[in-house]
Amino acid sequence: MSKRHKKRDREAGLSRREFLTAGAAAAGGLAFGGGRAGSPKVPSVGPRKAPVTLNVNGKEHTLEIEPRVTLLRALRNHLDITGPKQVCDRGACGGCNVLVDGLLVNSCMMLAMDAVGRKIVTPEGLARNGKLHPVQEAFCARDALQCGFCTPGMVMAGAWILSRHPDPSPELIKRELSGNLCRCGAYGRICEAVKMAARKK
Amino acid sequence: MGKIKTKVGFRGNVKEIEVTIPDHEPAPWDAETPLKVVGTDVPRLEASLKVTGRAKYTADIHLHGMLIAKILHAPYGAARIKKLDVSAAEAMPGVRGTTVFKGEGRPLLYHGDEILAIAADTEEQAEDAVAAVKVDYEFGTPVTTVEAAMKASAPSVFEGKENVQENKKARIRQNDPEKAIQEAAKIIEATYETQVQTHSCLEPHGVVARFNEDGSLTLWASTQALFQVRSDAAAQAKLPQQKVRVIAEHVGGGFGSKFALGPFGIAAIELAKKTGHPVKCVLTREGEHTTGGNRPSSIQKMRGGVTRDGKIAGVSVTTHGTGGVAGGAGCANPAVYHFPAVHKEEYSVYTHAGPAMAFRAPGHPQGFFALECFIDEMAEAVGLDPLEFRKRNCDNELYHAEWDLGAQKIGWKERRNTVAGGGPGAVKRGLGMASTLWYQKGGWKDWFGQRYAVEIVATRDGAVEVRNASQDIGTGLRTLLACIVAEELGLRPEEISVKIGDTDLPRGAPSGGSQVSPSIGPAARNAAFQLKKKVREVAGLGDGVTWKEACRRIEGEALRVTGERSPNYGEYKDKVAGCQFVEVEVNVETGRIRVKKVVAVQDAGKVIDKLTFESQIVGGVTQGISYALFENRILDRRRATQVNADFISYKIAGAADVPEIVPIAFDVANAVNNCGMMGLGEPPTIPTAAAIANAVHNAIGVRVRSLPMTPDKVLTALAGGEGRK
Repeated sequence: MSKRHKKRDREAGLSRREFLTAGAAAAGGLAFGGGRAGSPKVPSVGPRKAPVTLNVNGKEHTLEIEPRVTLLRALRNHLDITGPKQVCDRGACGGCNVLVDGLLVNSCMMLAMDAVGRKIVTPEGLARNGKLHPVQEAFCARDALQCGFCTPGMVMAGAWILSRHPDPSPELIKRELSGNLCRCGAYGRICEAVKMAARKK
Repeated sequence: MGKIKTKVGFRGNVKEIEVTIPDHEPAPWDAETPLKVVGTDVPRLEASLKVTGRAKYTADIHLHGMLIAKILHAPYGAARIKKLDVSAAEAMPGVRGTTVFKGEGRPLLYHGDEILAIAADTEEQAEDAVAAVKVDYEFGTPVTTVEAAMKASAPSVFEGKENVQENKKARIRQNDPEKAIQEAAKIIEATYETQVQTHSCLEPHGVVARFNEDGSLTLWASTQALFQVRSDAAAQAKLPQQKVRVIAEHVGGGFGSKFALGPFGIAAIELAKKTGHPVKCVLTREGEHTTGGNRPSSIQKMRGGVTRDGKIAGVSVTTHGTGGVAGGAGCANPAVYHFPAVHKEEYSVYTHAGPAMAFRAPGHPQGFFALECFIDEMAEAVGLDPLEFRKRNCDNELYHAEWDLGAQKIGWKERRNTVAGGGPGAVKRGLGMASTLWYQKGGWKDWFGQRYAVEIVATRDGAVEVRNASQDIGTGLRTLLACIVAEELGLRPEEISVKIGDTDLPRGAPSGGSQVSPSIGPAARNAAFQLKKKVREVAGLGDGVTWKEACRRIEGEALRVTGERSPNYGEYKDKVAGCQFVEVEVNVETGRIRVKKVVAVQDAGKVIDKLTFESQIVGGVTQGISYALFENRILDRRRATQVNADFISYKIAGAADVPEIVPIAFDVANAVNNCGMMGLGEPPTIPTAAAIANAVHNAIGVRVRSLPMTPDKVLTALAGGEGRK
């Protein structure tokens, strides 16, 4: 630990460390519907970098990050996995959607440390053995994209819908995609593509 | 140069014209040319890269030793920096450099105005440092609306300059409009208002800058004008343009807002220079809303006269709008219809808000909202069906054909309420329509005077690579070029690879005014035409020799051919037409409008790839719905702070807001260039808001003349407030 860091920690006092630790736990609780928030047994880490291991697309990655780093930024800035996009950074657009243990998550709203021990799937990992996921295939065939910046998130949301609804109605698809914004206006074809993928699956 | 005869027009309306084409060019694809690839559904070449997240946008570029820069934006408008202290920020861990845009004593005109940028090792450190900058602000009195800025007592946004500026070029006085209106059988008056809409590109503006060992500069930029960015960057870095390379392989939307290097680009260059590291500077969502561009608002006062037999006698239009600290708040009307007498005045009004930028058909969605609603109001005044009224006041056969097609597809005759409003139940249904136009024929050179060109490289293994510098902001340029080259060479589009988005490639066009496709497409066809000739000469293509076999006989590694864009030939139509028909449901108890269906007929010369052509139409309509019903930048009146600079409270249409959209790609052989192509990106977003407003009137019998048409405005109109007829 450098002298400057020590001094900073002293100035900030313990409250900063406690705040970060509690914040991490609270965010995890929010993302997964409670249970962990407020637990007295959360191990204390940070505020400076600590090693974590993330399982992304079936591969373990060990990296050193500050506890406040979001899952999105851990993926993008530390692992160079840039399929998930930082668009609104406030959980309002779905551009950063990934699957965590099979659950669709806005990765900008989850701390990377809360994803430790879970299986993370990004658009890069949705294709299996060089074959595109049916949703990805349908997006290509129906031209369900233009600039493509919302596409990785849309594809993840589409895959999430099909993982729970083998034959979703158009209304259900629209409702389920309501957390994802597309500025080019490809929604119509995105919904068609999800429906098409369901038929193929 | 040689004269040739070519068949132009559209189905059921084809005629022969004579055009003069350069000797080395193929004849334009006309109304009767048999085509195998052109006009079919061809999936986007880069689609698999985009669906797997492997397409690299500027925001995704990660270089060894790269720093992240963040900008400190002014949180207020009409303020001044009393004191600026960066010492604490600069002492923070990871901080490598600061560049100051505005120091002590400088005015901050609007929320988002750039104060400084800081580069640090990580994104979090850069954010911490920006948050640790101490600024003391001195507050002035902001003006945030057109009405407030127009008051005699209003403070000036720019010292010593009037807030209200006339756009003198837009002034029109044709014949005697006052007399024509006064003498007409019916006089109609109405005022229409439109809001400020932000571009809200999903990929924020951003630049990565890297100085190379040889002193040259490489930029990755989220831009729609690579060569403009190169020119700006060369000036900023004091380098000759040849020493600057700009790359934009994929761009996450632009819509008119990404033409310049921008403060983020200046920050990246300055901080890269200062620190010796590559620097990435990408705007936050708040920065994007407040500084990343917007469509100016408008207040449009219309007065017009109609004769007894349903002909427009004359019109008078006065418009005011604000583009914040930028001008250019124009309204593109009157247009489309025949106006025998016209008076037009246009004023841009400065306010303490971020600068407007070109936004998909600048001035047109605003102007056509007023124009096409006013046309409906004129028709109603003389008791005519709005479609019939339009026909009486326009003699362009293309519009007539498209109107008839759209009317038939929506069921205009059978399903439109002949008496507006009424019917039982709280949910009222109605139909409306509006027209559009655009002007883009493509050009042969850019605004720097450089001629557009496409290079094609055919290698001995039969591979074909098409090369052009233009960026693709989402329209599908790669696929379009592949279709054109495949058609000419007798190959399939997926056999063609396309390299774009790099200033090291042959000259490309800026993505503005819908010009890239019609400018670059014809150059690609020229290149393919010459390549085919060459392969035939040197390798005996044809006569039973396939492309692959012929390519094997190429001497050396590859054949390289460059095709240039020639000036346009003359044409069948110098503009594109188009129209949209809309069905809405309006709940008169809640005031909520739901768009149920949109039929969008759009021409843009020859349809090259039908799939992406339709995507452009659907995208334009969707943005139009969002503009009509939801989007609205809201400023706090006391501090000029945008209160909805995020995606939580700045509402953009989502999947559930979008109805069935039926895109109809209306093929027109135009002979304007060798592909017969016209620009498409802009026209489909122009008429949507007006068509929805006209449908709302047809549903509930009262007019909503203000965008966005939110429930409060619908209920106010129903209660007999503004807009009651």
